[in-house]
Amino acid sequence: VKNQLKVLRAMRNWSQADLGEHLDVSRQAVNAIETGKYDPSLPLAFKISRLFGQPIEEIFDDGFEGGQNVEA
Amino acid sequence: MAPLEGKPMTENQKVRKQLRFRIFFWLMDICLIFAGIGLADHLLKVVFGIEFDAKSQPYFAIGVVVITFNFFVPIFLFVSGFMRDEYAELLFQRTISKLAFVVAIGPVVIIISGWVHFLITDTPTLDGPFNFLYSKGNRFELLARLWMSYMLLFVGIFQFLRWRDSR
Repeated sequence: VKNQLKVLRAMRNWSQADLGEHLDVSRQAVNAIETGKYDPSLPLAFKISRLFGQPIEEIFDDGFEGGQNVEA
Repeated sequence: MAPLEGKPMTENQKVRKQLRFRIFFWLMDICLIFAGIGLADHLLKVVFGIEFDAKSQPYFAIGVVVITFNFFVPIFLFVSGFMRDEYAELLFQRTISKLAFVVAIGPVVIIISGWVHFLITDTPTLDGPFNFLYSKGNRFELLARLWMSYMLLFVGIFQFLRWRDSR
């Protein structure tokens, strides 16, 4: 799952550690989400969505568009 | 949207939680360093026959610290779920699944290695790192070494997965 976390974080001029503090997770967790190595749990995804004031689907992209997998 | 947790955390609680997460990774890093030191000492003894005087004070002092970080700290990290955030917990679960594989396969590999060694050299024991498995006397030492091996594997696999994720 791709995501816009790095962009959103950069817009606020936050470090990974800063974002980790806002989300109550470690810096390593933020890094792993940003690099796409780890998909956050649903509660954490909601937390991210609330923090940046954007819907989950605008932050995370699972590659599906209009019912079709664009990656396929 | 409704808040995720019923009761919001105070600033102090947040700071302590962050510190716990950081300490978990720091301790893992320190454990890996001491695992390397312990392994180097073991290899020096087994491969090169270099053995330090265990009764000398500096060696003993370093040994106590090394053993603490090879035995007890990994166990603490193993059981301390409260120090892991959800990413560390996921890494932990991935580590455990790999470790379970080693637990299942490892003894079979060692036994087969023993047979192959016997067939080739006609000596009934594996010299080197596995010779402790053939000691008939001290069962405590055998248990302690296996325990330490699994703890160090836990640290090694965890750090490897973490390193791979960070690339």
